[in-house]
Amino acid sequence: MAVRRICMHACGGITKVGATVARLATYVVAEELVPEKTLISCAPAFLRGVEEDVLMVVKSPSIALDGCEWSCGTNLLFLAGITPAVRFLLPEYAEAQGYDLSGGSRRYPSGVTKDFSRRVAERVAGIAAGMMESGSPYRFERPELKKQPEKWFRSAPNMEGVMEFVRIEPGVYRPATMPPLPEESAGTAGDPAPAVQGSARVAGEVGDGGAGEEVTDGG
Amino acid sequence: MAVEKVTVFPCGGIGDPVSSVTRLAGYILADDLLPGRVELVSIPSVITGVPDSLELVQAYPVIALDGCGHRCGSNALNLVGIKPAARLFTPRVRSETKNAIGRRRPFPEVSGQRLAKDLAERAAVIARHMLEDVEYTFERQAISPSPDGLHDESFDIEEALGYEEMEAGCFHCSGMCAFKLEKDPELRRRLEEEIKEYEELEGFEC
Repeated sequence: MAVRRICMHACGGITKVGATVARLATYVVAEELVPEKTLISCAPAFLRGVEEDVLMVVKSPSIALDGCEWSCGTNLLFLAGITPAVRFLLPEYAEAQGYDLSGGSRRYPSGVTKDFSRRVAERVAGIAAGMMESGSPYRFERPELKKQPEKWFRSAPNMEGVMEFVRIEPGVYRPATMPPLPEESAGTAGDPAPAVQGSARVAGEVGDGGAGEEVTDGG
Repeated sequence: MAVEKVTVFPCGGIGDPVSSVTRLAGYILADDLLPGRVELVSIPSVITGVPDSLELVQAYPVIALDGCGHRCGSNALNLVGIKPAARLFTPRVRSETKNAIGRRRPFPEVSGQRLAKDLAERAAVIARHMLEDVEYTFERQAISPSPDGLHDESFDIEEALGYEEMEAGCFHCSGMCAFKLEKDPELRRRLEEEIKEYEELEGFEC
């Protein structure tokens, strides 16, 4: 089905600057850049079973914003049977965009924390706009919510061995099982830097399938 | 016996402004009031299994900061089989102190910042008792999936954890060592004089 709304799923962390950036970026998108058409997913409320928080991740494609390599945003969705449409790995994206998060505040929306969150928000908004654009070829299949507590407590950095990704640009990934983004199909996605994650490839780099071909190796 | 550290578990929400209040309360506690003695932990990192987070909720008593009536912090701890050593319930504290949550989400308004201080003050009093009273006892807990309340808001988390209100907004969990709540004027002075309140932060109106 065509996409009417996008759900943003920040990692929910509290100890790292990346988590604060993820949180602030969702506010910038939802309150300024793409109001009305973007939803903010609340991880604890989702776990609690608050109806709106469950429905939003089932009915709309999610953009996960991971504040560190532990990827709790992506992983928490995965544990519920949901694969995000896009995943941001914010430390990597920060480096690629020239932001040094080492001096950023995790407590206040100030300095590089604030500046980088806006940069992230702009990129999220751009991807969301492409997915929701009238006539966009992007389609979304509603996932089925699963309860899989047997898979809890087994985190691996960057979802290694659990989920494979196509790299759109440094710090921006699409799970290999999800549809290519409109910008991939148009050949305008990201930059062609080589993949740094073991299980990721750069969009457009792979075989003869062109941009966004699914990755099949765990490499 | 007392304990070496205390873990604080703010609700971790994002959609409701109160989540920014509980988050700020956690930072005030860990950065300003009891640095090095309080550790912050987030909900997703425990469920997904980040090693440091798992250790913190098992090795030390956990103070849960529930932001709203959904009680997500308590529920998340229950999901992983951890009993909170204490729980603060923000709506009750807010009723007591009359400091409003406010409406802004990126960072709380001044009233919300004051409410965060109210929460941090109570949590600090409880944490200090756990850290300093030789009669306070705590046994290491072990995580185990307890999915009764997973995606099920009808689950009665208050009953499951056997909460008992010791003072307005401060709850004891059944089976855990009792804690004391002794007011500390010096703590209040520090909160009022040393922790700045912001009406504006680099373009974010508070």
